[in-house]
Amino acid sequence: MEEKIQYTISIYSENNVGLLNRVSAIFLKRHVNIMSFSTSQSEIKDVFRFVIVVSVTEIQIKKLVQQIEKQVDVIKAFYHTDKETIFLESALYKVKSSSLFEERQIQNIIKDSHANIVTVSPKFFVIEKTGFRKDTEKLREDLSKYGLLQFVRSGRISVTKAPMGISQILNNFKNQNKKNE
Amino acid sequence: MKNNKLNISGAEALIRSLLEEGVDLLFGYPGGAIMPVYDELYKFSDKINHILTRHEQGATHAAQGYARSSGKVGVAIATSGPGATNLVTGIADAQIDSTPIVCITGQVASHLLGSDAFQETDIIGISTPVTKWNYQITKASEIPDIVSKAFYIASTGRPGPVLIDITKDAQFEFCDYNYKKCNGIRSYLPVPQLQNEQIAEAAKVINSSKKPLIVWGQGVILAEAENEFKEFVENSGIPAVWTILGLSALPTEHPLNMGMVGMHGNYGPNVLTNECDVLIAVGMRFDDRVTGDLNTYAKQAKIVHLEIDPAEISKNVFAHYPILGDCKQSLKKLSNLVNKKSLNSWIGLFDNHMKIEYKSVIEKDLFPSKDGLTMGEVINSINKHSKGDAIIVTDVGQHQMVACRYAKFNSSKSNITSGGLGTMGFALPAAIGAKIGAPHREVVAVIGDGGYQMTIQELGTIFQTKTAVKIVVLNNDYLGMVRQWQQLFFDKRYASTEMVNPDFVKIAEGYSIQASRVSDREDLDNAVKLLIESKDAFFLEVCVEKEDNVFPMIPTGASVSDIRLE
Repeated sequence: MEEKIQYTISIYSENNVGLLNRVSAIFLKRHVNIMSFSTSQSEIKDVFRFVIVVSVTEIQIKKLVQQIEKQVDVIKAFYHTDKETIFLESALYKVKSSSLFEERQIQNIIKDSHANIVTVSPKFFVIEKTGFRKDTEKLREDLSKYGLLQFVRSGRISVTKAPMGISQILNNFKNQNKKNE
Repeated sequence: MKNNKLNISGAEALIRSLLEEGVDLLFGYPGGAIMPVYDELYKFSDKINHILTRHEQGATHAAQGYARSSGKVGVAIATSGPGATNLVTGIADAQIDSTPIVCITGQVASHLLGSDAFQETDIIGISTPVTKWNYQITKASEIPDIVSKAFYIASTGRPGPVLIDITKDAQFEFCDYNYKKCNGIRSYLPVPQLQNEQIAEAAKVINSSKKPLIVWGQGVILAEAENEFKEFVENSGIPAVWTILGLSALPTEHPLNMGMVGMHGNYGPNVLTNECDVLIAVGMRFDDRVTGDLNTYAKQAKIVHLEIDPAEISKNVFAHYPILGDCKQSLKKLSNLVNKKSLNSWIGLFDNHMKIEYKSVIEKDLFPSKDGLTMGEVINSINKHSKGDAIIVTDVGQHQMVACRYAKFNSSKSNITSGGLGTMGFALPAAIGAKIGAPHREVVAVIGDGGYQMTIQELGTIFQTKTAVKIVVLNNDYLGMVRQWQQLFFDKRYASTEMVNPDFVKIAEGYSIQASRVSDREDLDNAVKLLIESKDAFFLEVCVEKEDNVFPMIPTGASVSDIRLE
């Protein structure tokens, strides 16, 4: 059996209702679990970007990306290994305000982790930490001793080291259309 | 017809948009959420014909049959909720067999979406994995652009089904109508650009081959590349074999047509797949029913793959020499680069295998010495009386395999069957659509007694529309293919495969369709003759041997070279 490794899939697409469902159905059909998923505006106006992380074999990732790219509303899809991308995740930690004053250690944890305090109120405060999984995970472990009220981590966001060339694809289409007119 | 008009209803905009796309016929079934559209259909009945099927599944299969016999986009229409869900089997069938159809469903009014309203169902969600594209319209003004986009997507590149869901308020709402034909979508490249280097490299390996083999699929038919394909076969002198959906693209009697590959294909094509040195796949997708065990499939061969869909390249079988693009173009270029080969000894191997298969299988199927009628001799009789000019529509099961093995075809778009999805119940409604799509051709539906009863209600459609479909039911009182597997792989435990059937002749007569039944060999030929000669619809039940099996056969998971003759 070929080894499964972590791949980041980047999708550039139209922002249409239902596309998310269409993309996730491709994973469902092949019984592949999605480890992380995020969507946002991309660098190009009206073009959306998905970042999806899965752990699969190289053969599988190629086929998944081929199927994703086949979708009418998908402009282009790529896959990259961790080495080929710059990536991170954000996490929020909600802690009781009282513990900040009662447990001196907690202040050191926050300082050492280079986390930011987002909000402080009489009842709770919220810390934000952005980085690799191991960093946000370590902070979660450290804080959990003092009672985490809430914890949430975002999906991975990443940019690739190599250029994506989406504007080129869209320009080619525009020029092609001009020719047709 | 004017392509713009001020202040018309969404429903009228829909009909005008369909007319712009050249649609003059819909298959469908009315209901609450699609009523404004049906009201417009009533007003436009001089321009657009609506065929009322007896079930929405029948509407999709009829649209498929229409698309496959005519090469045009088939259209099916239904209401929301159960109307929409009943379309799903036909949509899934069209998706896996790359058939261009557009399905239109009514939807509850937009303010009711998500409220679990009467006959509300999330048909966009349900149909997503089985459509090439789908879209929910909630504003009348969207209708022209979306219809235009739907037809463009369904018919270009690798064709497929598209579904448009229209809320009832959008059908009633007034809009200013302006129709512009879609000629491009920025995120969608239907046909990959041909790369001459790919063709040159493939030509080189083909020219240096000693035992090349062409395997063609439906891509040849969908690209309307039959002439280019024939020229390629003849220019190269390479033996060619077909998948079930590729059947009829090259005439049966063509000297280089060596027969069918796959689970119940011919002996030579399967065995020699594992002996060829270059395998040239044209518009086919290496389905598991074609390849058997992938680990032992054509491992010795270099694979050349002509394909329009990049996602098919190396999906199941690694392609050493992919040629992306429309095969109508790539075949033409490839034809010019290949040298004519003299492959007598290689072709001789196909002949030798055919002799073996003839002796152990074909002779018994077509010219049986036993009492019971075989499915093969019925197909043979249809060949004789239709002279190979009929469109043969088959369902799924033993009769389908036998029909595809023995039917003779002179021209393309003549074999219509449910290949990838294996949908029982496909044939009867698909035959109605096929006949309407090609009214001057003879259309014979060959169906098993099981599949026939899955959509038997479409006899009502034939009755009402007077569509001259010829129906042959090969009745063995069994779900024959499952029974065959039970016999071979489950120690003859015939679990729920025996069928107690009604009087099919009486049922057909109930719909005023001429009908007859044959169970003796001496009556068969005349009965088939009457069937073919009839100007109207005709039903013929042939009571065949109950426990015949279809051979050759590649057991599931076995290699194509381990094909069994008995």
